[in-house]
Amino acid sequence: MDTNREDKELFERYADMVYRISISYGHPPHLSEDIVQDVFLRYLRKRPHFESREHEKAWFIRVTVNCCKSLFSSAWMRRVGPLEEAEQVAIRPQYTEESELYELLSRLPSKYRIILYLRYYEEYSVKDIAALLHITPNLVSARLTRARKQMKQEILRETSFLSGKEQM
Amino acid sequence: MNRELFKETYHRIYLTENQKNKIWNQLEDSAENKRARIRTCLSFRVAVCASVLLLSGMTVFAAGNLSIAEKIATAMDFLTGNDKELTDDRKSIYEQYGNALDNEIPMEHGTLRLEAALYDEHYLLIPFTFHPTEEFALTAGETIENTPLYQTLLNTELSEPSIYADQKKLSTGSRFTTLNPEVTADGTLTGSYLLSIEKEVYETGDNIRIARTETSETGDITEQLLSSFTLENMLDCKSIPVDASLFQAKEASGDASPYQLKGITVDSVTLSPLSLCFTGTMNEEGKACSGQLSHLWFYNTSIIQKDGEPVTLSRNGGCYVPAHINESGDSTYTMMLLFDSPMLLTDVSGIRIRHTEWDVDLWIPIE
Repeated sequence: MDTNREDKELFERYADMVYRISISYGHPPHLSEDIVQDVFLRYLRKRPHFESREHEKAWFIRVTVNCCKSLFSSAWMRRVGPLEEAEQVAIRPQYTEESELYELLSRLPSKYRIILYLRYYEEYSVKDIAALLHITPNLVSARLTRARKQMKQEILRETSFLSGKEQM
Repeated sequence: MNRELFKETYHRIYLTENQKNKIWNQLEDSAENKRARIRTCLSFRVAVCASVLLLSGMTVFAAGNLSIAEKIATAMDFLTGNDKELTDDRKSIYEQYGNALDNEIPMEHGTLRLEAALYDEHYLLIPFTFHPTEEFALTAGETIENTPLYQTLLNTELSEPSIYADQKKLSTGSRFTTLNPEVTADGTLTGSYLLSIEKEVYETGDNIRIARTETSETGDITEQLLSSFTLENMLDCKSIPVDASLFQAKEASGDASPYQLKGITVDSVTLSPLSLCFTGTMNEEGKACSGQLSHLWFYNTSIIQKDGEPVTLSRNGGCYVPAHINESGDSTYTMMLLFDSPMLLTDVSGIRIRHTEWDVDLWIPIE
């Protein structure tokens, strides 16, 4: 199981995506790093043949989702490493509109977040998302609708909370 | 949904160069397998398939000369880095609570023999030996760390064990494989599987099944059931009463430290001769400092014996399992610390969690 330049390129291409999916599932940064490592270890051990770039990307998404969905997702915390690691944050800490959206997203169940991510960030179709997650297109559509509705409710709740504060 | 805003949000979630370098270096280390360690995650979506090779009772090999205590001690010491002598107390614990196994699993390059099992509600340790076929015979005393066979054994044949118990679906948190690259006098390799049992508790009489996972080219994860055995002995765990106010003191003080334990509860502490386990819940506020929590536990928890000496923790096997959602919507966590060798519970005075920088100094007495 040696690594080579192509592996490094593949890592550069997909490491952030794997990390984002893991964060979307609600895993903290240190565990998401472990998931990045696990996914690429699986690749290095298996070295699957990819027919296309799409196939390659889909494989990494599928394996990441499988790892993230584990009820027992867990990390061997090595008793080494600098203390600063504990201070990692998922989203870079500038308080902007995006970080507010991230806060709202993080309140959604992970099954909604992953679908929102695949639909709006990776721009997969409902049919493709269904194939990636091994669920029916109808369920994907239903979850998308529920996710949007819940987001809307969260935004409204946030707005009314803020306006209430202003009145005070 | 504002698609651009959404994209921007996710654009700002990325790995820093430092994080990437760290992960890549670890991947390269794994590729080189300098330390014979494997970390794996177990997928929820597994398909149990293929054949069951229940081979208890077969006698391919002559009975080994080592006692069950020696077999467990050999595996445990290699795993934990313990270099102390096998004392009578330790030997007695291994003999009394160890389970003798003789499951033999034929593999491509030889036969895997599960030698014993030691279980304490938190961890299951299964020492094994690997007996190569004639074609792949090894020379006594040689070290095979850099050979293709060693890589194959570690990465394929002996890797990724999963565990099941009767009537229960999936049952392990993490799995950890060690394989000593030094060939023994009889031409075999020794190693162990260490499984952290994060949620469920096995009981004596449970039938434990061992499986191996594989990832297909389509990304599906399948499992092959390899072997099984019945758990006959287990180490007793002691539940330690916890004064919850100890852990809430920082919240009450209104301290603005970023490391305060706000939003985190400690619901139970259990201690066995082999390990210590904390469980609790984290609300949204607590999840934000989950990383600090793990550092607090891992780096600053000491189990103090009555002679004042701390118990040495294992170099491998500490385990932190966050984020199971309970009925109230809070996330639960489990934190496990493995000792480098077992000890008598009657020798323990208490548990100290101390971090001067964070102004944490907790003492949990063990009665």
